[in-house]
Amino acid sequence: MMIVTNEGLPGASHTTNNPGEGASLCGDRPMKTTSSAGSTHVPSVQRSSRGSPASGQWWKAWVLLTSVGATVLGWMAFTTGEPPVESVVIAPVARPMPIEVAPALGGSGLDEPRPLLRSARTLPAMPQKPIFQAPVTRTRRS
Amino acid sequence: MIMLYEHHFRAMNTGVGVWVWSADLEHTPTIQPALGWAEAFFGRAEAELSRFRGHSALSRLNRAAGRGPHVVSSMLWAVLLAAFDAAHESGGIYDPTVLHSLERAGYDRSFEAIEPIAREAVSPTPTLPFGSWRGVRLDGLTRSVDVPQDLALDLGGIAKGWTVDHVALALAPLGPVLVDAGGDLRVVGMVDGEAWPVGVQDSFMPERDRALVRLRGGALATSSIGGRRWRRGDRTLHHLIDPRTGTSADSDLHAVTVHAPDAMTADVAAKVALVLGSTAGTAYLLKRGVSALLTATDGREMVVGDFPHQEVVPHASHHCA
Repeated sequence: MMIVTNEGLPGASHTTNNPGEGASLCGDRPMKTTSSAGSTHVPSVQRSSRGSPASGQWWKAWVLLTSVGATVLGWMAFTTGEPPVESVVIAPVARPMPIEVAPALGGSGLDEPRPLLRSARTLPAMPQKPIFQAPVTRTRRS
Repeated sequence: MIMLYEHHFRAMNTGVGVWVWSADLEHTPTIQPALGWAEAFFGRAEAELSRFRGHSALSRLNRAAGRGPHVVSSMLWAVLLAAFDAAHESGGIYDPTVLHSLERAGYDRSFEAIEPIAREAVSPTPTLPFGSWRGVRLDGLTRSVDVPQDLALDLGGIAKGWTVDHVALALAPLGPVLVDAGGDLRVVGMVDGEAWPVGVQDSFMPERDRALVRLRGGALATSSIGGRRWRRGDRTLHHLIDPRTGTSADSDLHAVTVHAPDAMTADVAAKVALVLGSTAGTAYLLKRGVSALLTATDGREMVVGDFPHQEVVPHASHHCA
């Protein structure tokens, strides 16, 4: 037998899969059910100890407001502890790219007129060796 | 997060590449301006140090030859000091005053503008006696240079090496850096302890690499007679002047690639070794404490010292030290 209780809140339901009982009771009506340990619950007493339905509404509101407040405070703490997003983002000139490095340039590669190029490549924090898959550049006759 | 930043541009009549690794986000806003600074610095160096720029500090100095001491900029002064140190250290084989010989041989304009073949032969008589560079007077107190009437200065390769070194060291605080200007390149630092792989161009087949160098630091520079060549009369000439003869060096070496602590040293050492030839050149490189890969005109490969190559595709190879 499994008992799921949601006691103490207005409109709380007690469900039991105990054959023969199977009742779901609401409101102030005292309910008597049997737990797996055979103990007796007196929901009305527990509800009264937590206040009336009106005070229950206040409790819900309090929980909601506290959650929202904590979320907002936490968000503010994180955003003020870090630099603005704009200063972290490197784009558009520095875009994360695959680890692979450009292959060696041809014989006249660097000697050809090339447009201005700025780029950046990203590696994971623990890069797999070898970092360079090909020569970065070449020394050549001058 | 580790980022590799690249910047490519053109300066000093060649392609320049700058690579910077950075793992520190604090440097991110700094790196792009720093790469822009590197390009601007190359431009400034070219504007001050090029013999092809009529208004450069070097051209003004050359025009002042024979007119007494001429005050020069701090940049030109720094490169001149290095150049005359190199002349002294190489016994004059590296000579920054061979400009007239170079022009007489036909290299009187940017290489792209040189007429590749001309009927007129070049006079075999040297323009100046060997060691004329000693006639140049440098005064550190006034930062002035007195160039004799018949001399003119060319700082091509050493100026490029100096600029590469300067930019590499300036960017090094941002992270491991590689600066390459037309094959003269300098490395400072490594990422994750891994060396920078750099190809060494095959001087006979420029489209392929002869070797792969794992560069953990220092610099590489290559000199070769295979690139800048032209014909005058029945002679094939090139841009590497032997100051002992005043004309293109007649060497048994086709290309020399040197690994040295800095790009300026590597550039000078490669030129000197090539002019001297394989035997005297090897002795010079060992004396300088640098390592090198030498390619003879017959295709033989020679390794001098502890050259950090991974593989060489040789025709015939032997180790010299």
